[in-house]
Amino acid sequence: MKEPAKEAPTVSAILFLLAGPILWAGHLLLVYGVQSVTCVVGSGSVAPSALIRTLVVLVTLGAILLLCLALFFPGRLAHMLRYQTPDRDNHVFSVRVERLLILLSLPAVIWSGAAAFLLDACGLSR
Amino acid sequence: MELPNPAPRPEGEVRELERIWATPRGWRLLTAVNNTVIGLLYIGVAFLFFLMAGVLAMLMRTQLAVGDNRLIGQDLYNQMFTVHGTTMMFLFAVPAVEALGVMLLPQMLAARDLPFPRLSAFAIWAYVVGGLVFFSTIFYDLAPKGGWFMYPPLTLTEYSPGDNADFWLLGIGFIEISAIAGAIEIVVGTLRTRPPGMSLAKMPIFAWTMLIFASMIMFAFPAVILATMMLEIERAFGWPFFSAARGGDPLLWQHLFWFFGHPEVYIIFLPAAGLVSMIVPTMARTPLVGYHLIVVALIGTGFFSFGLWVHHMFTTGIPAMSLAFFSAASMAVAVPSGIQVFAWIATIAAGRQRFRMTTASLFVLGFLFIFTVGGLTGVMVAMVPFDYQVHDTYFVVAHFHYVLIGGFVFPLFAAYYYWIPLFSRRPLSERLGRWVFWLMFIGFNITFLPMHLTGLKGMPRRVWTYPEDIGWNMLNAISTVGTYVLAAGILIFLIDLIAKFRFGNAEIENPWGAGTLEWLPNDVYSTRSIPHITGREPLWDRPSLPQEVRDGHHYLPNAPTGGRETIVTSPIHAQPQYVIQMPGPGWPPFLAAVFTAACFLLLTVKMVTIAIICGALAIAFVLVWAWGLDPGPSKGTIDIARGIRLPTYMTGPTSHSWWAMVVLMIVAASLYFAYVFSYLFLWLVSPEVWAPTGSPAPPPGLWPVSAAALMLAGSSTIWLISRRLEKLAASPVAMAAALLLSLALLIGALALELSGHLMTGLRPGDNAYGAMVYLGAVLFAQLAFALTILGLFTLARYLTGKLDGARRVTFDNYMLLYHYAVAQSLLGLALVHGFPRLIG
Repeated sequence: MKEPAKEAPTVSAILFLLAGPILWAGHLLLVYGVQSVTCVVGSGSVAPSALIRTLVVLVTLGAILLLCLALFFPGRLAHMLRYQTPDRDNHVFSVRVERLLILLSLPAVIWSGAAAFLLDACGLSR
Repeated sequence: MELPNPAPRPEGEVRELERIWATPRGWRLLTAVNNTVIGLLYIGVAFLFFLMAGVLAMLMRTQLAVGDNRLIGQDLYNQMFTVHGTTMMFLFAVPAVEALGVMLLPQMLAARDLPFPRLSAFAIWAYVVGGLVFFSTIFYDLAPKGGWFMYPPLTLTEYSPGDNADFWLLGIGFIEISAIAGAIEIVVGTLRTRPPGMSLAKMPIFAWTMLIFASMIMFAFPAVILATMMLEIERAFGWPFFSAARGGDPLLWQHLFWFFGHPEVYIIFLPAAGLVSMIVPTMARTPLVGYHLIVVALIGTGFFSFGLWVHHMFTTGIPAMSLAFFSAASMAVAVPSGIQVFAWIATIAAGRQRFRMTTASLFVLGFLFIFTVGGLTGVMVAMVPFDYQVHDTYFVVAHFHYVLIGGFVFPLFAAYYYWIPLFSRRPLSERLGRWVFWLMFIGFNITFLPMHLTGLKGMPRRVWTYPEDIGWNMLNAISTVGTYVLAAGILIFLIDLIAKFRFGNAEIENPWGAGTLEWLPNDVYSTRSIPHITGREPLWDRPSLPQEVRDGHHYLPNAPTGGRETIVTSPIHAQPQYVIQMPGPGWPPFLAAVFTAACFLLLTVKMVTIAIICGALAIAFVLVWAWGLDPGPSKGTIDIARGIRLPTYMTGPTSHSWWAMVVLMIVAASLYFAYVFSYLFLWLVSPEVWAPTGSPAPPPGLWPVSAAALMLAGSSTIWLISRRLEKLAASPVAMAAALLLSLALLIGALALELSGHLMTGLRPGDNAYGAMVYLGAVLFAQLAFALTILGLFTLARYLTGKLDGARRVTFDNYMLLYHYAVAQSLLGLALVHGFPRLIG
């Protein structure tokens, strides 16, 4: 059967709207994964702490950069994902939701990443 | 706006709709699938579980009223708190939310019903039967005793012999499957059965919350399903996933459980917040302030809630930096919750007229107070050093009751008072409602506020009694008195409900003057015609809408296919795409649910043969039910409005069945990623048992390569069938051979995978490595089993002329699941065969 109405792929809409939280989740997965695995695997080697700190900071900076790009250039992101909203209402809604979610995700990423400067990488807190 | 159907409608259309959508009577009521009927059953049973678990709570509080009390023995007390927590979380809260979704979503979206009414009926009956049997174990001394989160090693056979823990594992595992079935229905229903014009930007907040709720279930529940599966396998067959002595780790359970368990709190809270976001604007008589912000807050909360699970494990010896990552997320989640609270307060303040103080409003205000207190103590326990002090004390009990009762029970009661006029001829009493509210509000705070102090004074949770001279008597006595006050409020509500609730349409159509679609004139068929939407409060934007809808001036004012149907729209902009033909009442979903429940429960008590027979019967009834679906394009296209003709059948990525299968595949993928996580976690914990040094090396590379080749050949076969379905339809032998070949290739790959590992001498009971290797094969076997049934079903439909190039939904489902199974199994082969080689 031929489809009577077509619109942007739903996956594109999901990726565009949820760009912020997806990047936040990716950041958490990476910093937690890298830190946990390196602590266990590198327990016998010299100073995994410095390596972990560096990796956490790099991953955090990368996430911040991507979040800022998505925050300031939503049009480019939408174009890249082939997400188009022909009517103004939905366009405003989509961009606003995308930006606000990034604004929520940004401090959460910075908050998590800040741990690298404050705490021992593999030590217990008590 | 020009009306979609401006001309007067012919007589007899409404009578036809009433006939088609009529609710069965007498015994046949069990076969009903209308959302209002089964939704009511769903919420009624959920409320029954709330009452029963509440009685357990009262008994426990009575036991704790004074020190050294001997009213209830220790063993029974352990069963009581386990059944209380389990019932409240699994049998009351999540089902109550799904029930509200089933009841209210079609009305709010002006759809005739959700897209899979029989799936809803199946999920509900499975839950009713399974839930009642599970709860009844408390009466036979068979109830689990490990607490609602059932931590091993306490729940391993060595420390929890008997069937008690198995009732939890199989019973709850099964009810989670029912919840997932409901989630599939809600995701597809919300995204695809909205009325024309209701784009995402105009969707009611409750629909947003239900969409997020169901999406969260898709990602959270599979983790606990895998965990329950692993624990049950360890208890039954000795595969050591959680036994530290053989390379397992009890902490793996905690990771998997809380990856589900923490989002579970928000799975419960977000829909409740959605209810509040619907009630507040109506009572304030003004649109919701910050609609966009609330949508953002809901999505943000849903996401962040998946990054908090470790905050239940702060005291388990995880490195400080890991704790900091999760502590940060735990505090970050407070921000979107705060956004919602401020938006509700702003809406109340923004109303030009005074905020109407109905019983529903009182419960909303009570919710705001209690939930905010719970949120603040939540920020306290999110701080690692503070959590160290109060972990496993009554402070935590107080905190989560403030969050869950404040964040869910109070909004639920608000919803009862607000929406009951939609389903009952008479509303509940406003006068008694105020008594109910104040007794519940005061009783709640008398019960749980002192518990913060009880906890700070060091009283641990889950103790059946305490020494009389330790200084906890007064606080406990106050809490117990509060419980009885709280119960008195609920009792008055119950009496009022029994006195007033009579199923039917209310005398006043829109008693609160609300702006959303559920208050349109309703009957068994939902609305007479499906309205065109131009704003978020359609009834406020267009006061003539109820009359226009009643007169059939909007979309689909009749039943052109002669059966049950509703409009399917596009997921983002809600443009009409096709008309879905839906099945009506029938016995198969009911019988399938009963036999599925029987299968799981009989397995619990080790009556394996009868359980297998019940399982086979359940599958048979599912097949009978599915046989009547996929009606084909025989009805052609129909008019839903002037100048708009839509097809009555759809295949491919646009069809709702394709969407449901994709959702199911996402659930399966979530489960598989939980498996991958478990595999890597246990390797990190116990690398000494891993191959190639601690266990036999994996079979030679030819084995997995051959298995992969068979699977890829199977996928290619399916791809070829799909491409040539029209031509193959004329050649029964070729079609049958191709379908059977695809199955044979898959089963062959499974056999190769299993025999390869058996050949190396590795056994699943040897150690955690062996257990994880064979668990991978079990997950593959599950998919192969499902595909075998689906493949043979597809073949049967083809041979009976119910499948061809145009009528191909059954085949499409088989194809999607097949490709998914191959992708999952290839990843599994890479992990199980590649990883040991990588580390070796």
